[in-house]
Amino acid sequence: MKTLVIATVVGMVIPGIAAFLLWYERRLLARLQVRMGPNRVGPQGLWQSLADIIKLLSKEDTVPAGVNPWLFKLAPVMAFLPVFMAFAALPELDPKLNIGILYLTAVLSLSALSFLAAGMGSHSKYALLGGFRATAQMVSYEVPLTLALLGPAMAAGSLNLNVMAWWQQHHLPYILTQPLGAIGFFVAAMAEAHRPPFDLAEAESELVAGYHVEYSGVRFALFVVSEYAHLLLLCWLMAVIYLGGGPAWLVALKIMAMVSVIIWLRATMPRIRADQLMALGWKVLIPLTSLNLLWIAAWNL
Amino acid sequence: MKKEVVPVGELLERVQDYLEQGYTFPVVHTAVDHGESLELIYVLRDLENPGREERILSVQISSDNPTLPSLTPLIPGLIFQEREVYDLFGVTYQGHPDLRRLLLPDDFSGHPLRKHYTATEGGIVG
Amino acid sequence: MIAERDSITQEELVLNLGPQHPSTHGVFRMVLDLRGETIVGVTPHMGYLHRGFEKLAERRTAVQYQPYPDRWDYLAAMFDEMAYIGAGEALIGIEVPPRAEWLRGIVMELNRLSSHLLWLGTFLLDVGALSPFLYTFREREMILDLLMELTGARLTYSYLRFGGLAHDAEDLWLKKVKAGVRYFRRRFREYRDLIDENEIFRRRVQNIGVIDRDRAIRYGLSGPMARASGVAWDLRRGRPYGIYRQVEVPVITREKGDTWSRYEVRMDEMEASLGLLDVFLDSVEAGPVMAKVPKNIKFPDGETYFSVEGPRGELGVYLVGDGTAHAKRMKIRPPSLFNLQALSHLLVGHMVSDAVAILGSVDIVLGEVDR
Repeated sequence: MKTLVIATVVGMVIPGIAAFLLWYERRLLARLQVRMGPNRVGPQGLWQSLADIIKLLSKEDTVPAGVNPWLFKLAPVMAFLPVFMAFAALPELDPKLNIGILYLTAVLSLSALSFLAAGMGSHSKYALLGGFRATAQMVSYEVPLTLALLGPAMAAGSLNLNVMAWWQQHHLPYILTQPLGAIGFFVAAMAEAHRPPFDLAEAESELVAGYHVEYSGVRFALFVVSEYAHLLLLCWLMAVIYLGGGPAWLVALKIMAMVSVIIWLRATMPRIRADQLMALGWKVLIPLTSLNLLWIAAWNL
Repeated sequence: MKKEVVPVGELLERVQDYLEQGYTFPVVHTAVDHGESLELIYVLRDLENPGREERILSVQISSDNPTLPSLTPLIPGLIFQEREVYDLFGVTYQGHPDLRRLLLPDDFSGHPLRKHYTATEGGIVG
Repeated sequence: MIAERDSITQEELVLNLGPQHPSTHGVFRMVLDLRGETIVGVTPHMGYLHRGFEKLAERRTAVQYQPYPDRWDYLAAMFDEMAYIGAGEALIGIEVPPRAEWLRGIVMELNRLSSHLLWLGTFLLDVGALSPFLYTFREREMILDLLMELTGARLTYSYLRFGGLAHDAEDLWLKKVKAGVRYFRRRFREYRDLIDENEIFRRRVQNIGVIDRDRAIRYGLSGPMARASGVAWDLRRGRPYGIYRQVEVPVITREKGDTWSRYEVRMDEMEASLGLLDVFLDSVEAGPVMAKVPKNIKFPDGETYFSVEGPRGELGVYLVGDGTAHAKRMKIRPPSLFNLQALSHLLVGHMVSDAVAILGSVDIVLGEVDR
């Protein structure tokens, strides 16, 4: 019973925070670009995200002719579920999940399927190309992401994120003791979340909207919410695993700081090309995170 | 500006000459409709020697079934200009690798820049 | 096209970009033949914006046609006007008073700046950098405001006339331009700082879309496209017209011929334009801005070719007169059309993302391609 209540609360609150992040991104990005961002709908435009979501939910559920109905309909769900499931590993929500890191990597890899399904299921060459790029990207960056997560796990001696947070509060935050791992995690997580500069799968100026070009209404809303939830997740993970966690308000502050940096990068950096992305993942991040792991291992001796 | 009149038969040779002399830059190529004949204009420039004036060649062909050899094998920079003249004047260039309309729809009939082409010929009353 | 290799069947993917597409810079259609992400063939399709400008020139008198050239390359309208008016003045034999020449120089260089600014914003947008677009447009708005104050329009000015200008420019306006130049100089420093050293940007544009000097000349490339490949030709130096007969213009070149070089050439050109503006503003003399010309302008028997160095390259007009007020034939030489001839050579062997970056670096305007 209790878990059902918690699940419902989490299921409602996380999308709410995602909507808030959507508003925050639009305002911050606008300010960095000499514009205002939404400021009419509600105080400071705060209801804008809600209005947009309501609009999306009230649209006709179009399923284009020629699509593979199974893949097409499954894709948004496959994007949504793994991200939300991943939140269970966070110490603020379940401090006793002893398989924390293992659970995280397992669940997050599932979200790669959504791009494949969306790309192949949509009856569009643009979507196909976008789907290929996205899937390759996800798969390539799994490895450095996992390696980067293993560093803190080894240092704390546990897969449980709560233990890692606790360890950092009694010693030093891992970002200081494992800088390579921190950078590796940050970059890999951004690539996993398709954040600019790693957003080539949805490259607006090239493939219009890439793998989710044929989606509208509720299905599209699911993609959007899961994208921002994923952003929240990775900032939260960064805050807990590398920045040290702490009381809820401190974690929230750290999360907002990370989010702001990520938005700043979006405003500043051009898009990286597909093959350069691969090269970065395989030839730079894997050595970097592996080195980090060796460093921790040596240090632990 | 001084035009040189070149008979069709000597066109390729004359252009080849000028290319060897250094006039390798295609400035412009177009046609002028004089009613019974079409005048093809070519302007070539030598970029290495700004002091040299452009060479302006003028070739007259009959406006009835106008054809002449394409210069694209010698000057690739005329590939679109020749297509344009074909499109708007109906001139056929022998040896052009891709002679089709450039600006008008592929299924358009008629060559609008000819003097006899008026709105009525195009099917629009007025 | 299906090819069999060993036991794997490979098929070429045909990807259609345009005519509606965020990055084709106008109504332009490119059909790409892809193998994976690599381009093996390009077929450009144009004509979506064909409006019959050349035929119209035969149906309107010289004076009636005056508003039309602005609409060829609508981002560089002053140059269109200069090409048309200049051709007419050359054919008829009209001499323009000095003040008009200086002012023409000023508005042309301002227009070059606004055109390059738009190019910069959209080019960076194509590569994925979202913010500089807004910064360059902010600067461009200032230039457009200046030109609107002078001519009444933001893009299609109709300012040049046979024999001079439609009206004079006030001293106050010239002071504003001077202040603007100072402001822009600072901003350009910012752009260079923000963009030049960005590693991701460099990787996207260096060694991409290379064309060598010889090919550039043979394809008829002009403007920054050609100069980035080492062709040291600028009409303002090689065939000076108007005020450029008195002022020396630096010819900016690069050797590599890649997208990065084209970027650098245009950036340096903007700075050079600022320098020219300073010179023009200091030198503009008092006097009339219109010569004595007949009310009913007629094109005499004869023909001439007149061209200007526009932001995209050599923009020329081949004008044939027959003694009447109507042109017998008016051919427009659009730089973008010639520059597009190199497209196949530039794109084959690259990937789809590069196609967008390369097309952006060619800087085409469909208005002049299609006419």
